[in-house]
Amino acid sequence: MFLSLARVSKLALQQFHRNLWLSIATISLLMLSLLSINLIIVLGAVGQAAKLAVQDKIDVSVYFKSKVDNEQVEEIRADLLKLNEVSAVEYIPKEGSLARFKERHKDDPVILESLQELNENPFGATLAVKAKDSEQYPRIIAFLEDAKYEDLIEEKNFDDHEFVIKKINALMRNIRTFGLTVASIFGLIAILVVINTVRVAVYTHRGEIGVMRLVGASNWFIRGPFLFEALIFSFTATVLTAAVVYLGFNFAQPYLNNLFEGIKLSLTSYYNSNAATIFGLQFLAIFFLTAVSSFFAVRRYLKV
Amino acid sequence: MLSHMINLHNVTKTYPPNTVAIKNVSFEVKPGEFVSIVGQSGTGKSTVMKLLIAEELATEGQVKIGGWDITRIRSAAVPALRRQIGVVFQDLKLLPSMTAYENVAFALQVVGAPSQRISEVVPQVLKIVGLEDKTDRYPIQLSGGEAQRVVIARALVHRPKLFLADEPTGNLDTLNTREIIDILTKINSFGTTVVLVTHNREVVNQLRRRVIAMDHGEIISDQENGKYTL
Repeated sequence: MFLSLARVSKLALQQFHRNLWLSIATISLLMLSLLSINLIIVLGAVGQAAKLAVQDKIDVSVYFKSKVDNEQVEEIRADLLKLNEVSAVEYIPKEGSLARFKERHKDDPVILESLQELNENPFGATLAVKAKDSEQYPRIIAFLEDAKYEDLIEEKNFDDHEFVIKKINALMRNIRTFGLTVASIFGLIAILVVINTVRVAVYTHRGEIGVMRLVGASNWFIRGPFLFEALIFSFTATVLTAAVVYLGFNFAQPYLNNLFEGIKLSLTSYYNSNAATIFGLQFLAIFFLTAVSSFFAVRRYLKV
Repeated sequence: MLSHMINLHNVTKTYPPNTVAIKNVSFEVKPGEFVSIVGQSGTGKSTVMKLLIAEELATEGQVKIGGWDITRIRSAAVPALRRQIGVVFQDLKLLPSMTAYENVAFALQVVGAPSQRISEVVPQVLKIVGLEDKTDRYPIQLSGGEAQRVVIARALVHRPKLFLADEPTGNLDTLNTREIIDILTKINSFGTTVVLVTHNREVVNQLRRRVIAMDHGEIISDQENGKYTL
């Protein structure tokens, strides 16, 4: 068993070495396929970061009538926080709303004078509600439209944001669809490239396969070197792809920082925290593909 | 004691859609015999060879090698059969990237033979075929006769009970042909059953061994100490 494994490994290394150019070409094509997949992953990560950044700037402000006291607003805040869709609710008391208004209109003496003439605080408390995902705002609004809150709420400014939120959601859906479409096309191309590359590699060894069959080598001994070679191809391609990806990040990060001003997006950190999954899955996928391709490519020559 | 090394009983091989390569072929070969199968091109000689190494399966009839019925042999069992048969083809099937020694050793390596046995047996068989001083030559550096002798050495390393040679002298001149036939006779003298497929009249007539003649996929004569009479 060990002797056979050692000979299979030796044969695989000999095949790799004797057809060095074909081996390099195979690894290069596998790398191109993996780089395409990584490009899609990076686009997804950048899109997600942009979405989160924009979402962070959006909230729904609920303005309460001035007659509503702060305790009632606190109760509604507590109810809102119980909702799964809600990530945070900022409470601005009546006094805070007044102070905010004054600050916003400090350069407008007419408004400030009118306010003074009222002799009382005309503002109610305000709740600024943030959803976990921009898609969830309509559900929060529906919650606030309950009859029991109708008399308490003066205004909700969701309508102002609704357009923006709808746009962002539509944009994200488009990006996701585009990403999936491109990933599917690249994936299909990668599969075809890998299958054909392996077929060419096996074709060049048809002489050895014929001789092996003739002298009584078992099918698994014949397949062994090709499987081992697939392992070498997949491992080398994955390691080199990882190297190119990280080099690319170093090069691209300053440009990304400029492009997404104010958004904290480190691709290196993103990859570092997911490296085992990203490259592990890519290695397994490419090895599975090359192994299955070689299995079928070799089978053709095993019929002799 | 095995009564027959080869036993073909009413064997027919048809290729789709309806090309009959051999029809109702029956013959037996005893252990230690030297048999020549002769006939013009396309008479079914090579089909018989392919059936004997399970490269093809019979459409009808029964094929037995050393008492083993291989008529419907499973693909997984074919390697075990081929390890017991030495096969030589006209087109050599040598690996150009390996030396004579490596080509012969390769046949033992792929069946899991221990390294020590390989280093003992390979020089022995290369000596039998007279190539002990050309072990490190690549096929391209050998003459046609020498390359054919490497193929014979490779077929011998398993110490087969049955040795099949399909037109082994097809591309050789008279001198090299004589040498190859001498080696086959030598192999037979060790007790190995030899089946030689050829259409070389001179070779068959000099051997004076059993001759099976085929024509249009059928056996037309089977003679002890026969001659090429087609």
